[in-house]
Amino acid sequence: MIHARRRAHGRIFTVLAVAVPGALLASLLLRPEVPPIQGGDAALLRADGFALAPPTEARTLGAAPHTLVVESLGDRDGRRVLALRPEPAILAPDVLVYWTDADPGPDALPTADATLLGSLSGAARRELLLPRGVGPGQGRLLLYSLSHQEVVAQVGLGADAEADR
Amino acid sequence: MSVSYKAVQWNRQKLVYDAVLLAALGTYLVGFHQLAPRLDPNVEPMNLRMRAFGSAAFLLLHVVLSIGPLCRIDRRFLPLLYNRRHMGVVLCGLALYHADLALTWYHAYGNLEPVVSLFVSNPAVGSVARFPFEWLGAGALAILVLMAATSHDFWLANLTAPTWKALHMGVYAAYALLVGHVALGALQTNTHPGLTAGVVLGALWILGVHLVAAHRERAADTPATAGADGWVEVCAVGEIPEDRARVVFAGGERIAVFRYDGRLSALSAVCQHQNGPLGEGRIVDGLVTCPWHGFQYRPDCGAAPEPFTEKLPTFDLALRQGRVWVNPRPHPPGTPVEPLPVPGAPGGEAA
Ligand code: HEM
Ligand code: FES
Repeated sequence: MIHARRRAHGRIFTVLAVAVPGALLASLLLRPEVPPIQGGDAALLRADGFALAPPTEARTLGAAPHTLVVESLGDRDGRRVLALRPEPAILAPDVLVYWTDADPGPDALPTADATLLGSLSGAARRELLLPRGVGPGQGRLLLYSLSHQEVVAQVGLGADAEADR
Repeated sequence: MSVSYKAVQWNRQKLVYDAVLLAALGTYLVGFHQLAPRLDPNVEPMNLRMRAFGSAAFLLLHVVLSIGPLCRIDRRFLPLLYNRRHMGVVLCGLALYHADLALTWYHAYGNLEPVVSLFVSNPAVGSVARFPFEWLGAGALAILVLMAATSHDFWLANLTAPTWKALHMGVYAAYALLVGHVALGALQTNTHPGLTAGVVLGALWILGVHLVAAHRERAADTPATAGADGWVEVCAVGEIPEDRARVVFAGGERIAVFRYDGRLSALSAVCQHQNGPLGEGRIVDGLVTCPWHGFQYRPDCGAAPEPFTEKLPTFDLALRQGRVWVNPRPHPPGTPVEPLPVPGAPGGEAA
């Protein structure tokens, strides 16, 4: 190369010798740590309401196509704990679960005295706490699609009373 | 040009070079498709191909960038330099296919033109992990395409070697962009220590060989001190090996003093083809021969043998107390200068 190009070449490499290691180092140091899923991460799933206890004796409640596999997981802080798993998965977006003691009649929306328990997530087994003081087999669950603003299914808990006692 | 040079025709050396290149690439691509799914069984076939071609192009860029400095460090690498432009063109082909796969896979199924989608769908320039690293790849690709498109000797001759060389120094910008493309792309999501180590060692290697070569080059560019008459001392006569040159930096450029058949001649050390280091060449068949692609020049006048037309500036030489001196004022290219006889050498003058 002619001398001018050799000098330019030298300057380019002076810049690269600083910029390339600097950029590499910065991008590696700032790289987010995403730990791999391990057994110890169960706490994250539990915090999100997924039921992690091994399945117990279960009853299938409700009418096809929207049936729920319901397990009673006993009491926690004086509240009954249920594990719910849709079987098959409910194909409606953003399904919320309400508990109500009244009979709202078919297709009625959850009323103000219905208690929001949580949401379902695909076919996952979720853990939900019933309101304080609710006895075995009392009331019913309303499965409400938030996006479609309609009750997808009503599931009476009465049939669960036997297993719950 | 050398007597046997054929501007556009294939010769055996080029065919062997390209055959070895393509065989190595084929082995790499097949090997990648076999091995990568074992390391990551969930990889999609499309991502697999994208990664195979992207990484092949990036690796080949490391090879291309190593050739120059390696040749300065050890002459045995010179055969790699001869045809490295073909490597650059192949590299550009690999990169184009990689980019086409990425555009198709990530940008072809929306309601925007894929190329528009590439540049508008991710504006997270402030984030490291989500940075639109594809933009850096696209910038590098533009440079690689420009270089491949102008790689032929037609462009070299029409742009002139210094302009062509300046254009092709864009490869260093492309390299820096690609380190960013990989560091902000693949390295953010694939934290396998092998990949990180590979990229870091690759960068250290490229910088290392260039810095070593640059150090040697700088020594060769130290201006020689001129005598009162403006002439510059080169070395003792005996220090120039037969059929080789000593190089001196004077008058703003390198001058090569060749010794052959008991005589000395001085020429510009900058080859007219790609400005290769003529002073590192040797005399073959009585002609100064460039180490890069074999262009040849008559030592006594700097002109290429018929029918070629390249001409180099020539310089006057003198012997003073057994030492060689050169006048750094060049004669116009192709000017014959009577060679200086070496005292006592066969073919030279009696001592
Ligand atoms: C418009 C231009 C380009 C686009 C849109 C693009 C896009 C991408 C994408 C989406 C990935 C991630 C693929 C994955 O992880 O599955 C990637 C990775 C990569 N790209 Fe590019 N790229 C471009 C240009 C280039 C060029 C010019 C080169 C090299 C010469 C290159 C080399 C690489 C390498 C080495 C990887 C990492 C592969 C791996 O994970 O093993 N890319 N590119
Ligand atoms: S022959 Fe190509 S640079 Fe000299």
